[in-house]
Amino acid sequence: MRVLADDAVKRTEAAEALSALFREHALGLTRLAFLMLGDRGAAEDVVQEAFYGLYRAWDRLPSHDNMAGYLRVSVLNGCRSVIRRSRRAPAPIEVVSAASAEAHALLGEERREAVAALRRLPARQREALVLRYFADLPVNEIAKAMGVSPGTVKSTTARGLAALARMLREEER
Amino acid sequence: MNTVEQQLRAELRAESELITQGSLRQPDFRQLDDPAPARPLAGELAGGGRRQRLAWLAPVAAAAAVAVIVATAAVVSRHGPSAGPESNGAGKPTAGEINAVAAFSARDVWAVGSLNLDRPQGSDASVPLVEHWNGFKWRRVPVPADPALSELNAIAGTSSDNLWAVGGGFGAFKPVILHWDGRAWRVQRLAANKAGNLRAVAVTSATDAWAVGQTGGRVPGALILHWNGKTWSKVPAPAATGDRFLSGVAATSARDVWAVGSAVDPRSSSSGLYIIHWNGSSWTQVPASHLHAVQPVLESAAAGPDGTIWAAGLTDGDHTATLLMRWTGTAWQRVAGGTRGLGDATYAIAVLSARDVWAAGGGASDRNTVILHWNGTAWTRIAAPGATFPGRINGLAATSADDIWAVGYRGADGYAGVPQILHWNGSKWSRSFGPASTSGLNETSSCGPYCNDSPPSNTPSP
Repeated sequence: MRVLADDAVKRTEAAEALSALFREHALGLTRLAFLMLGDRGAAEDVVQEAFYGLYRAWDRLPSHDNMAGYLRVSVLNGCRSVIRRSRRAPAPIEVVSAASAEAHALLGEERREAVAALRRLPARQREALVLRYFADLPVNEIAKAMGVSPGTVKSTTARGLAALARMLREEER
Repeated sequence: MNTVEQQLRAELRAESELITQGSLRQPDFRQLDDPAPARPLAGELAGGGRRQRLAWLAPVAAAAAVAVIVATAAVVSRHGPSAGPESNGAGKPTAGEINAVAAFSARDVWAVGSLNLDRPQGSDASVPLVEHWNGFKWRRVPVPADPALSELNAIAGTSSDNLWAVGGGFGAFKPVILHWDGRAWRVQRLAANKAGNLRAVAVTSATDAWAVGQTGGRVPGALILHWNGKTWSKVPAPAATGDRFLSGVAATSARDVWAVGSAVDPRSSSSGLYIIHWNGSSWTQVPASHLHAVQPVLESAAAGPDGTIWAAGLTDGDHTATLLMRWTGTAWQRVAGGTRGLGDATYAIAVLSARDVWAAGGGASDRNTVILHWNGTAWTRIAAPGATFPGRINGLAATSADDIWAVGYRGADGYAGVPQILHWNGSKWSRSFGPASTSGLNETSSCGPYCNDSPPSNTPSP
């Protein structure tokens, strides 16, 4: 019984720590996932999944430092798997996302051309650009989050930006 | 006039503000504790079976099935061996790069990299690229389709019937190893559930090879795999402060192997070098002191036939600069680079002897290629016309002082890169593979970026 009681205390502590982390980081992470996926519901689900995953792993982690970085990598993994699953969908489904409709409504006639162009980039370039220009992470941190070398981050970012510039130019014509 | 960066930054912020704190549901963590107790988390978040056990995940699956990201045609390489121009409409190559090269003779050179396919919206369709030079021309060699494999990062071997190529994919984060037995490339079976990406390979014999890179997952680390003639198995990496990456490996014998990379402190995001040595029985970390470098990162290592060892990389502080280091026999020593260009970085190195070393990379944001030569006393920048263009050199290989190969990509501002292979014949650099410019290859070229649009002018004669 003693063991069970200790366990219950541990679980309560973990739940409290996770709730605090959620209050601090959930907004930023959901925004990150939303920019990656373009869909609010999917972004919220990926973020919830990341927090639940951390809660389950909590007692086995050697350290509870840098949980923000841990959650960010979880969220990016979750986004990648949503993108992978969607790519395997049997039939092409054209969906005008509620989010982009809402965005247009909020902005009046002004379209977010760069964000629209970003959605047409390969996932890797999109991820590098969102981490750089939205999350404002340094190259080393992006490399860690993406699981590639810092050199690759630089070239991926450079090429993503170049492709974006080209798309924006073409749109102007 | 706003730059693209400024526009993107502003739009991302505006778009992100569609998500507000008030809209988020605080999760109830304790609901996970019962009825089914939490199970140990195995492997990747993306991996598999445990999902269904949790009731709250059902809506995720439903959301994913709706496929908000527009999904269209499947990637052709998923369904068969990939070789030659990807023939269906979804598979036309639009860009790519060569990451590494291995040269055995003037008539036997291998280059590996990846091609980006003309992709459906939102997808990341890259396929591995393997090219072989037979002394006359480059020919694309088919590789088996593997869903985890979208890029090959390195190639090495003892001869043209014992070659290893390593790489991985972006989404899958699974290391992939291919072997060439003289006739075909085959995917090697790795122990299950290894997440990560392989960035370098070194081979000393048919029964001894090393592949290094980084593990995937949420706690990144160095990944070291060893081939003993029968299987690839994981070897633990020596501990270091922070998250470790390995990017290069070089061997002079089975008892003298160096692997290089960097270790990033997760809290400060500052990096230090991570250099480790294998003495035949264990890996140990070797310190590199007196670097005078901010955020140093090593990208590659090479060993010459005389045992000379060099490593190349960059310092990644406020100003990027080349980082060139040699092993003196007792310590790693930084040697001043032959470039004063702020922003220059080296990603590749090839050693012929203690007095003949080549290093290469790219200038700031890959605005131009960088090629450097070491004559035993100093590094000199080679500003040859055939070797200087917008883009970057990723890999180098040398069989003799007048037979050097440099691989990478050409990419001007506003265009995705295209694969390039250059050759040094002892007096000049010339282009051996890939289009001469990035304009016109995206749409007009019928054979994509991997055709020779003009005969190589100065390649080794058979």
